[in-house]
Amino acid sequence: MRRLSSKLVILLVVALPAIVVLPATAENIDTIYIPGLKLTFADGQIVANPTNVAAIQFMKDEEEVGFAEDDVFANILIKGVPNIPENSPDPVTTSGESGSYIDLLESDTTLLHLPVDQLNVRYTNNSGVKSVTISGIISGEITYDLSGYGLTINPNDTVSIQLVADQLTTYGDPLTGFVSTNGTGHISFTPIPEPSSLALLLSLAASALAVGVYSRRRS
Amino acid sequence: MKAPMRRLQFIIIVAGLIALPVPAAFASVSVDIQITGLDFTYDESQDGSLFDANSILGRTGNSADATRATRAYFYLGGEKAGSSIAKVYVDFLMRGIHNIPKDGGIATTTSTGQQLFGFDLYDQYFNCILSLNLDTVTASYTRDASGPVLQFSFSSGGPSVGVVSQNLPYGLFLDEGQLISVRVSSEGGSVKDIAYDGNYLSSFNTLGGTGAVYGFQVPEPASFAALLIIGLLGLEIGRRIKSRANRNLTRT
Repeated sequence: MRRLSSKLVILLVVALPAIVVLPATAENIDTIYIPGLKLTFADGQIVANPTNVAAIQFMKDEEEVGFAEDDVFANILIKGVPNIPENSPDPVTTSGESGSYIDLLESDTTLLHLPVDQLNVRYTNNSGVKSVTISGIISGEITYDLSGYGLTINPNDTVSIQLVADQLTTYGDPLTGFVSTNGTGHISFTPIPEPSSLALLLSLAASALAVGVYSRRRS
Repeated sequence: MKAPMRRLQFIIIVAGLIALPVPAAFASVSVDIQITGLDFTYDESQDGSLFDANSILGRTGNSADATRATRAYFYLGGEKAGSSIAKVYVDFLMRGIHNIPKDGGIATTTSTGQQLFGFDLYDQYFNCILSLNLDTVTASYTRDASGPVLQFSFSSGGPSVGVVSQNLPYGLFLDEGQLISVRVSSEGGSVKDIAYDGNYLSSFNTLGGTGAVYGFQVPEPASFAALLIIGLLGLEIGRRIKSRANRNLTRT
């Protein structure tokens, strides 16, 4: 009986962290799309200040769970952007200077505030089709109010962003400035993991295995 | 009678000069289409093909060969031309994208002139609203701390490649005489099942990428504007002749 209870304790000890640690499945990624994004680059800063966007689209597991197209704005400031060479195999990296951010707003409400650290910036010119891509991960304290759109962000989650500036008027070689009349933003993040039944079953199976191995060693 | 005629000629010339810049302005109005929630696949072993996730086949008239995307947005001159359309279909294939460096970089292809098809967009009822043939492809691949971040950009344009058909909403009509470009991209966590062969990417899937088509509105409104201006001038001339005749009658 004593042996059984010790097994039960082990089972619980192993199972509980497993449930908590298990990440969301690979497909379980939440996404925010920002079509109609207008960015400019000048004086070492990429800015959208604050710009009306076509819409903000909220996706969970590839299904649209929210959509806002009236009075939605992007307010973006990325500091410390160096000159950007054309078609370089390696992207340039921003300085990571503090005070850089990506904000999404609906009327006066800030839906999402992402403090920005270092980002990669790349400029491609394919036979006159010019595009600048800004990508990276967000570090720092994220604040959000997405309750109306069914999304939740865990501040500890990795949030990846990509902003694409298309329809460019460019200045300088390497690029010292641009005006983009259209582009898209894409923000994806792992939601707070919920212990699904599958995860629970997996945890229990892993725990049972661990208990088995432990008992075998003891005997 | 000579003096009034000269004055009229002067008015016509001045009005014509004022009207001239209008067609030029109309000619450069951009047409943009953006697509969200686009799934696609890259398979190096199939002649370096990048295609919509459901099937490498396309332009078959079969919706099963196209892939459903979440929304398409339409813009004229950078402003929304109308409401977005939900649940559109995208059908595309680009071939010949080889040697995309494993650690990030750029691969450019040259046109083979033997593309099976290019980039087709269908509305929610699977009516084709845009069909493009494509040309040169540039694929750029960036890796960073967020994991693989992929962006592909490729272009089609000019009269030699051009538009196969178009039936865009909101009065949009792409000018085939100007550059038309297409871009699809995958970001951060949307890239799945990435595989390598030596120093190069061999395959991956993208769930929920984005796409875009950029071009210019056909300068149809310019001729309309010119006709309108000519009509107004005609009216003005008629009015002036009539009032002068009335004035002469009064004097006599």
